[in-house]
Amino acid sequence: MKFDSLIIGGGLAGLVCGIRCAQAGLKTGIVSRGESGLAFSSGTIDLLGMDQQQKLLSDPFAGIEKLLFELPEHPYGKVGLTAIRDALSWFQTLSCEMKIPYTHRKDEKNQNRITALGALRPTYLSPATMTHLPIAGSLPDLRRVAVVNIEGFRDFQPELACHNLKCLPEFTDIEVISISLKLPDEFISNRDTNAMRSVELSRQLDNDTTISLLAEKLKIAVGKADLVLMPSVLSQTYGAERLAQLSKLSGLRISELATLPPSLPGLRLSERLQQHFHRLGGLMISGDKVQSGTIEQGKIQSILTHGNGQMALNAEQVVLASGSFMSGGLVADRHCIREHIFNLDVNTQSPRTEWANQKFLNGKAHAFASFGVVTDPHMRAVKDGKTIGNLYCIGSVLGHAQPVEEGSAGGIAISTGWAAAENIIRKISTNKENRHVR
Amino acid sequence: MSVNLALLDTTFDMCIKCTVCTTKCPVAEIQPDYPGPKQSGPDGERWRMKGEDFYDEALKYCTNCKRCEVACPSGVEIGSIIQKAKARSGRHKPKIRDYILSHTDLMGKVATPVAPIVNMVTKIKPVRVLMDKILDIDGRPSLPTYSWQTFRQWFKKEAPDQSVFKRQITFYHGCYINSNDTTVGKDLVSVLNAMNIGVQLLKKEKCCGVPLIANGFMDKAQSNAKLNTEQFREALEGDSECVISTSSSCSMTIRDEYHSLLEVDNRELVNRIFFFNTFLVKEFEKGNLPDMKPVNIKIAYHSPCHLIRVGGVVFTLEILRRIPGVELHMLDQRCCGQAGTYGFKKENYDTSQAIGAPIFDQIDSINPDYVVTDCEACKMQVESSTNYKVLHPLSVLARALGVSK
Repeated sequence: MKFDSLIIGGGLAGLVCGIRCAQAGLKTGIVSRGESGLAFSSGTIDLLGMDQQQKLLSDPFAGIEKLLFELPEHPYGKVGLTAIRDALSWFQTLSCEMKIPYTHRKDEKNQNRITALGALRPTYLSPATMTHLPIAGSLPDLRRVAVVNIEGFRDFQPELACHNLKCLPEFTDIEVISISLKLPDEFISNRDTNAMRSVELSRQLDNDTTISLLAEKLKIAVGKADLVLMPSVLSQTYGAERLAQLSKLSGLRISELATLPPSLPGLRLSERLQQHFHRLGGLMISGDKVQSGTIEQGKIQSILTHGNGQMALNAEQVVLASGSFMSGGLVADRHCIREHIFNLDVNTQSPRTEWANQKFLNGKAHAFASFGVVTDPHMRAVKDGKTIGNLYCIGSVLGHAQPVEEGSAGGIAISTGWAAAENIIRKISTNKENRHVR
Repeated sequence: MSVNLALLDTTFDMCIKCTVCTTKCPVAEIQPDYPGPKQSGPDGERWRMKGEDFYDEALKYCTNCKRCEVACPSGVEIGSIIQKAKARSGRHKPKIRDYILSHTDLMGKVATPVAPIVNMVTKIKPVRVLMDKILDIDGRPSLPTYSWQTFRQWFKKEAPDQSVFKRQITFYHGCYINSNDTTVGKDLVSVLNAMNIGVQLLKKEKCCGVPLIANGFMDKAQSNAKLNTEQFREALEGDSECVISTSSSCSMTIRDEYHSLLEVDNRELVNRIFFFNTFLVKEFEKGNLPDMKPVNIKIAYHSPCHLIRVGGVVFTLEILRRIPGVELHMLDQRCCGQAGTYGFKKENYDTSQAIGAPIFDQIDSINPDYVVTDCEACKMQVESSTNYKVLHPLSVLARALGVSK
């Protein structure tokens, strides 16, 4: 079956690229094997949180400018600062259309996200349900903060979050308390009310009656507080709406914290993106995975999927958004790192002993995190030293980034996904015009 | 039991415990007594390896919709693990009701000769009350009606001469088309004939096995799979280019479950057993595209779970998009709740309706001329739960070709 553009991978990068292509009227397919890393993510979009010397960045754009100078082969280098800004503002408009608005701080600086362990992490865009705390300086509007859990939710320890927050210099003059709320048994009908995951608890809470009751309990237990921090458990789909409702009914300012997987803020973003892609007429091939492709005359001619030996998929432009090791885009053999579908050139030939640090968590970046495929300046894949003219690579399959240490995964996914789509749209419309002229 | 269900398989260990399957489970969303696919599948399997006592009766709630398998990033066949565990350890033995609902080909044989009577009787309120009380078949959903003349009888007596076509395919019609609603079978014959392709039937065929698996009749499902596979082999060794099925669940079962669940190795044949949509798209792309007239209808397309599982929704959409005058609206990809025989059962009816409710609402808000879907069970559920008529994509195509039955 023929497509204009076919994307391999349905994570953030793949969906962004797919939506942009579908918006432009291209016949676009996404082959997606299972849910993506978004289900494990905080749901916020990091752009660049740390510089190469591991120093916290307040201004991510200034940071990117410096990064491009120090490390021109970084994925941001292939997109360029102007296009990164365009991609982010496109994404913000899209997020409003999907009714899950993402915002940055007014000063376009990084903001602090509070983690479920009570640590602060720099990020750039976040949904309305989160705090948007400034990255530097004191927090004058906060005097008393309550960390609240609901009994029976097993993936959050309010005491631990509370303790860790108190240890932070930003919270020196702030009173932080932890509270566990118990809802009456008749409101929690799960078969194991002592060990619910976020999704199970959300199915109990996601209705007007329970939210009202929760608001009453919250008011009494918290008293006066400038900020209430709760794990993200109110609703799988309507997180922002339920949080606003709870805030209004309780009169408290409430923010949610992303939890251990399944992370509802990440899932919500994934669900909205998939739904939007469908509604734009995008063609989602889920439940299957790409097995191989034929490359002739420097181009991908056809793609074969694992489950469908009957029909090859053909596309004018192909996009590889298959992720890194976790998603299976890259695989590590005993002796080498491989890109697993097309066997593309990768950016490392180093021996196995140099792939990782001796200690896993010593705060230093591992080499393997920066492994990825080699691309030309337009993000097109390279195999045996030759560019494949119609294969773009986007997201975390690209090398030369340290997404965890830098705090850049979301920004890379969105900007490379958007930029590849723009290239594809331009190319396909030029080809169509040329055919027309002839 | 001849099906080798001995647990030597530890593929469940690929599970990374992310729980994303449970977020996509339509049953867990509604039914708090169901622990969800992660706990029922890979987690539970570790316990069950230690002993049968760890088997959890809540597994009966699973509909085998396979949305968990679509969601899984690690390739764990969660739905199949649950089905196997149910068959191996379930203390809940199939009831007469389960036998009646799942033996679709047998019921067809019994009911079609007296179809008008059966159809009338199953609409009588007091009868339904009795069925509800005695058999636990819920009194509310409309039960499938039976056809007076089976598809095979029609094909033998009334179908146009197929031998005039040089190209031949074999049609696996399945139970629903043979005994309940022959329309889609007749439309397939008309459409393929319009494309200069002749249709043959298998010498004999049995139910694909999907309702048998869901109701715990694994032996029967396996013997059906063996018979069907032999028949496919015979047809493919003859002058048939391929075998075609028009039901998404039969197709998935034959393609994936014969081999992986029922241990009937048909892997050398599966690439020649097509769901109608892939076959047609291939033909269209080769240029075998008959003239179509605008149908001028507004349709809402519902993606069946088992078609999503095999990644086949896009091919049906490709066909629908080529039909002039189709105003296509995509329903969100949610389960309709019927899951074959599940929604007919008294203990499941409410769950089944609650699962489907968002789809029914979305259909109402679109207000299409027809709902279109590839699955007969989804069709029954939507027609029983809304005021809309449901067409198979082939029937829309047949209209565009002016060959509709």
